[in-house]
Amino acid sequence: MLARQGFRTKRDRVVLNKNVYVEADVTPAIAKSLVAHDVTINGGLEVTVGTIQQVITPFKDFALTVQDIELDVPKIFYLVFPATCFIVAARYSITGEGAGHTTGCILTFSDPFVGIPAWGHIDIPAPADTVQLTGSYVFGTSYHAGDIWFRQVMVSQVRTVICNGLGAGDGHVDLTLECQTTL
Amino acid sequence: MATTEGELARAGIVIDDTTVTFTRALEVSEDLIVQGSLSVGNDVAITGDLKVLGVITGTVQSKYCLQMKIEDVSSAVSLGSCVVPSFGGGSITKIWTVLQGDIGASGGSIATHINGADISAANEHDVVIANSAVAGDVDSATVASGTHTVAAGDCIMVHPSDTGTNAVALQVVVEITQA
Repeated sequence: MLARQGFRTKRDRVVLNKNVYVEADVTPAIAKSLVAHDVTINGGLEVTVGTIQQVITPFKDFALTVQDIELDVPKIFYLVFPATCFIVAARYSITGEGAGHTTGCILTFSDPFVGIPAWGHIDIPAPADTVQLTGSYVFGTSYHAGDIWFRQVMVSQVRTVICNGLGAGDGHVDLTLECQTTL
Repeated sequence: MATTEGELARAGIVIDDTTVTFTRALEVSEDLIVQGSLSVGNDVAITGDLKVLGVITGTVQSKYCLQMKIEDVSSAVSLGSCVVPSFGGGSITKIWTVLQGDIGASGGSIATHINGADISAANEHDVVIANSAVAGDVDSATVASGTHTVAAGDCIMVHPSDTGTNAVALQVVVEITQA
C-alpha cells in the first residue's frame, strides 16, 4: 500500500517519489535529523515565510582591492576584512609607462600583528611599455609555506600588502585579493 | 483519492494521486533528497549544507561588501565613493575603516552618504577614529538592518566629517545586507 502511494523503502532510507509539501515546520529530530544533515534539492526551493539565512557564512565570496601600487615606492597597505574568510588568490594587473624598465618589485603578504615575514609574496615583473600585464598567485598551493598565516582571516582583522618599492619606472599595480568564506 | 482517514491520516499524512502532504512538523532523520521541488510553508533549519540545483525563491538574506578609499583623512572634501551594483539592493549594516598611516594628535569621523544624503542625522552612524590612532587601526560603526537602504545604481559616498591631523589615507569597507 505504501509503495502505491509513493513510498519506497531502501536499506537506509525511505524514498518519497512524489512531490513533498510540508505545511508545518521542518524540525530536527533528537539525533540525526534534517538539521544535522545535508539537503539536496534537484528542483527549486521556495520559502514563503521568513528569510533564507546563511547563519554560518552570511557573506558570499568577495574581493578586496588595492589600487595604484607604485612599483618604485615602498609602502604598506592595510586591508580590513568584513567577514571571516580565506584569501585564496591574489590577482594583479600592471599598467606600465615608459620603455626599458627591467626591474619589478615584490609584494609581501603579511599579518601585521606577527611582523613582516617572507611568507607569501608575489613577484611583480617589470612593466613593459604600454603593455598591461596580468598575473595571479594562488595561496596555499605554492612554495610559500607560511601562506596560511596571511590566508586565514577573522572578521575585522587586518592584513597588509607590502610593496618593497624596488621596481623601476612608473608602473602601477592593481591588486585584487579573492576571498572565500568557506573552502 | 486522498487518504483522509486511517492510520496515515491520523499521523498527519495525506496522500492523493500526485502529492504527499504532511500537515504536521516533519522530522527527517537522514539526508533529505528531493527530486522535484520542495515547498515549505514555514521555516527550515539546516546546519549542514543545502544544495539546490534549481532556483531558490523567497527572501534570501546574504551579505556582501563594497570598498572605498579616502585619500586624505585630514580633508573634508576627500571623498570615497562607489555605486551599488545590479542586484545589490539591501541596507547598509556595518562600516569599517582601517588607517593607512598615523592620524596624528586629532582623530576624526567618517560620514556615509547615500545619494548625497548623510545617513547619520546625529552622527550616530559615523565611524569615529580615536586621537593618535596609528596605521592599521580598525574602527567601525554598526547600522540596524533596514534603516538605511540602497538600491542598484545608488551612490554610496564616504568622507571625513571631522578631519584628522595628518594627510593619510583610509580604506573603507561597507557591508550590505540583503534580506
